[in-house]
Amino acid sequence: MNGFTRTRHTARAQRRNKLATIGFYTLGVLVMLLIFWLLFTILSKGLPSLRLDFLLKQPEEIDPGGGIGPVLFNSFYILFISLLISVPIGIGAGIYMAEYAPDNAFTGALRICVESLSSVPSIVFGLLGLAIFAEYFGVGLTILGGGVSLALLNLPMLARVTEEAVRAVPGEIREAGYALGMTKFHVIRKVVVPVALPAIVTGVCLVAGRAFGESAVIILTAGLSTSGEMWDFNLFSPGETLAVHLWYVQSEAIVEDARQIADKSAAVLVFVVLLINFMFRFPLWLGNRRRGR
Amino acid sequence: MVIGNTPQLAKSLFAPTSVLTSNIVMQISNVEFDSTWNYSLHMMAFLLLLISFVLILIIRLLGRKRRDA
Repeated sequence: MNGFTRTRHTARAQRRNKLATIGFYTLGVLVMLLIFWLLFTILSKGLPSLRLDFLLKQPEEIDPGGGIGPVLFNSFYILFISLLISVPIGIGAGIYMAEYAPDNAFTGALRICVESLSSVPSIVFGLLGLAIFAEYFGVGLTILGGGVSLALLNLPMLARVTEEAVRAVPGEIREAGYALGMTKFHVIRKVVVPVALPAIVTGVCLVAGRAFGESAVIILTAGLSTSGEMWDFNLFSPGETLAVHLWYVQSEAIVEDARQIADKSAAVLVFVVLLINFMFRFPLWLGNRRRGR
Repeated sequence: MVIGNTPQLAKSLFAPTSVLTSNIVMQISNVEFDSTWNYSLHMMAFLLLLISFVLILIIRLLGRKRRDA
């Protein structure tokens, strides 16, 4: 016994420590179970009856057996447009906020604005898109409107994620770049962004998943119908996405196999979101492994 | 959507009611453009914006107090 005896006090502390460990493990396992239960219910209902022609066929209004072809295509198309707009602007704004912005009241106000925008319910952006595209420009419900509104929804989030990622880059690396006589832009391009890239890609991937599953914005800006053609690249045709179709089929459609269509659409939706995550992260994971070796 | 979309003040946790966001989605598609109803829906959206702004401000204030202490 070198001065440490088990008093009542330490015994109680140890007991509490054990309890806390068990408690946190239980909570963690509970969350994991919840996620797996959700995935399992959705996928087990939808995947077994999923056929390829369901993914390619036209949706039906009255007859059973409709597919989700144009709807699925519109989902990807709108996601692509929104990322095309939001990724350059969002990352640029994030880099500005982290590297260039002076630390004054104006920047503080700007930051509060970005934060409150990223927490606003998506329906507000939907109304904004409706007011801009359908009422001001008068083009009605279009794929372009949906894509731009989604980009507006994602911009604040993307800017924030990029800012945090760029801020997390250690200052020493930056100073080493300056010591070599690099300009500020060169340091950002060649040093800061590559180091911050994994975090930025994670942010983009989160945003893409959110945009793919977004329904409220799309209902108001891209509408509840498709143009009726597969592979319709026209920016000004109405573009219902998969998440909207799921909502529509579940709540308003009158086809008799609405339930099955909803189940299958939900499974496809979850599957695609998982796939997007995997596709974005796999190159990063590969790069990390190569660097580690 | 799970909440029931009934316009009433819920008396208990098991009564259906509705929330701002889902009400906008449900009703915006069948209002006339220049009607009071349309403008009230936009007002609801503005309220939502205001609420989240105020929440962020509160969080900011709390964070500042923590940093000063």
